[in-house]
Amino acid sequence: MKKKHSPTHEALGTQANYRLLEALSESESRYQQLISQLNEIVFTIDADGLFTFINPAWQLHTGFTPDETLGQLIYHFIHPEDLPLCNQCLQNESSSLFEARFFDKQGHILWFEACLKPIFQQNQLKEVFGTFIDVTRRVKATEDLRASKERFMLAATATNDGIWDWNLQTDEVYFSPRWKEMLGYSDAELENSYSTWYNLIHPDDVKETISSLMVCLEGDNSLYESVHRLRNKSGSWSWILDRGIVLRDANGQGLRMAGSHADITPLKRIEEKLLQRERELNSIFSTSPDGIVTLTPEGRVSSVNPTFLEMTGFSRDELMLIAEHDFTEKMRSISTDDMPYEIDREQAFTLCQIVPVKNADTAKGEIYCQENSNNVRVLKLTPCQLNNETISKVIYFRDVTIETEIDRMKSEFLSTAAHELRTPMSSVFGFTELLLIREFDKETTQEILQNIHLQSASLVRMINDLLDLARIEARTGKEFHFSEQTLETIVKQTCNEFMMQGDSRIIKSIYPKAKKHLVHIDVDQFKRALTNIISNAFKYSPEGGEISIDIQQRQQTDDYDEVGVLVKDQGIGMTEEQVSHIFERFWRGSNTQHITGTGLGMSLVKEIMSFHHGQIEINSQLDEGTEVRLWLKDHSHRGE
Amino acid sequence: MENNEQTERTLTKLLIVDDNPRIRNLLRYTFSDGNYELFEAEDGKQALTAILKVKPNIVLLDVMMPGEIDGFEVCDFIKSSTLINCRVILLTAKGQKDDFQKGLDSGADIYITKPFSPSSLIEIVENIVAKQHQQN
Repeated sequence: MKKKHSPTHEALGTQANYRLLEALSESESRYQQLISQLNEIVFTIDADGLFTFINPAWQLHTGFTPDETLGQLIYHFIHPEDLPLCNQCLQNESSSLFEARFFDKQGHILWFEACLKPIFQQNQLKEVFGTFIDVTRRVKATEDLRASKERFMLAATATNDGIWDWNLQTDEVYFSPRWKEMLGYSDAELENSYSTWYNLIHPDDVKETISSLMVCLEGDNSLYESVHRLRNKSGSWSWILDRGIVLRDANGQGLRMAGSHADITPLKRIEEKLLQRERELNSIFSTSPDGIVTLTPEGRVSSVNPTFLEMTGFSRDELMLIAEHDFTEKMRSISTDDMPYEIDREQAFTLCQIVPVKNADTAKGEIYCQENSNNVRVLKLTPCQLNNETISKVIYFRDVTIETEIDRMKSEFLSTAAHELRTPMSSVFGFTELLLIREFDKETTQEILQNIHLQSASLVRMINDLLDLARIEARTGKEFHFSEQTLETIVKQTCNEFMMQGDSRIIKSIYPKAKKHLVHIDVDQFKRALTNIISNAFKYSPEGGEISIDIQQRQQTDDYDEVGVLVKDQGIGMTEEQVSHIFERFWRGSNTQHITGTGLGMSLVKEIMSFHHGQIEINSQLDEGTEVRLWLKDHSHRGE
Repeated sequence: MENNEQTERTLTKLLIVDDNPRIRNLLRYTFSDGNYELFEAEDGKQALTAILKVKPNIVLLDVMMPGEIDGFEVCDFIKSSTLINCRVILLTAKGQKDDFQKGLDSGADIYITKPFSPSSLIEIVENIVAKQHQQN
């Protein structure tokens, strides 16, 4: 402002003019300064549309320098689509306001809000004053908002979701028509309020749904998701997947919450069916009497059922996800067979049961199996190949220990029976042939015939005993007739009927005659068992000695007593070891070679007694004699 | 005198091993034609003693016998001993396939199952005797 402080004294009038001029120029320079500082673009164009003035803001926004701009047509800078609009506004006599797209120096689009003021002189357009305000950012934001809104609507329509929008400040809720339609209502039938939704929620789901909504509203996590049931118009329940987000202000205060709402009832039904099916399959899997192991297509163990774990003693943890090879190794480690366990072959193999073994020697497979069959399990393995994405193989393990044992016993029995029949048959066959091919004196012939006869009788006995055993074992029950009998009477009858060829001994009865015990028996069968015992007493005391019979009583439980018949001899007796074999079929003591017998008598007695739910007690001393007691339930208590 | 020596020389020593007295009885009658000198044993242990003492030409051997030594083991003993030159006929009530195999494995010359035909047995024994004579 130096000019202001240097007035000339000589020409006051001129000075006044100067002052005026100075003031004017000062004002103009201030305006120019102001205009150059403005963020808005200020410009003038002449009647032909050429730029005549432009402020620096132009270059700031567009990048064009004044040199590149002044004298240029305004139309060069305008987006072609907006030219008509712009042209029209330039023709206006009054000022006009519009938005149009411009290009910056890089060719990017800029949105300008243009304000044009045409200046006329004698009805002739002289020039146009104007301003541009850069509104690119605002237009873009509006456009983005619209686009995202469109996308959201589009997505919601495509997925058939309902939409809701909850204004947290006014508590107004907007439910889209689709939202209501999903529940069977028309748009007008449901009020747009929070309580509309709240009242439709299934009572069992309210607590959880509202709590997850609150967590979302109050917490940092602005995502809300809930699956709950809403009552639909028909009164049944629809499963809804409800999702939303919270929009917050700068302070984190919730402004609105909006989201989508999908009916997942059909999905839920399928899910429930699947769950039910899974439960069914799981119970089958876990209660199966067979052990089951499944393998994935990659050959890893994917599941094992409790039966398998119980059979093998493995734990689930040590088996899960191990490779097939390792599984095979594990099975081999507990297998006692010579033939190694193979996974792909149907086979039976023997396992040591995983009970602690006291004697280390017995853990060695076969011997172990034969000597102590209770500690070995035989499993039959059946692999089943599948063409499945999750399971490639199912291996079933059936416990065939009992079947194997029965098989073994059966073939052992057959082989023993054949053996036992062959020996007497040898005498019959051999001696008759000798008689046919050779001459013997009368005495010898007689001896040979006696021999043949005895051996044939032995064969007949053996066959009868075998058939009886088979019949009793089959236990059809039809051939047994149980009745209440007095034991004393039955014992007396049996003794009277008994006769031993070539033995004059009398059975000494030492039980009190007056007493009467009632028993429930099949008379014929029980007599038969008792006869066998008495017969043994005679047979196995060839040197003589007293044979006595007694009836004794013992308390079995608090409920009932047992009554027993005791047959006692003073014969050859047995060792403890021999007694342990006495019920084995065809077994005969080594000291009984000269005494005839089939080795089946005691087996028969055992079967008959077990059919009577009775017991056999044997006490024997070698060379001193044997005591056999047949115990039956005493039925006489009730009678007394 | 000369005749007697001749007879004694041609007598075949036959050892009968069976725990069953009736079978021993039958075998005794079968070979009672005077061509054989008969010896008997009731179990494996007695059999071994008799074999060492009598040095029989032929043993008629039962398989299943009471005691610690069964027929297979007796047969094994005979066949593994270089001092004993003796044919073994296993006579057994065990007629199953693996029993037969076991009999052959133990080195028995002939395996016969009970019941057997005495005349066939005589024939078999006579054949063996004839072969033994040829070798001598």
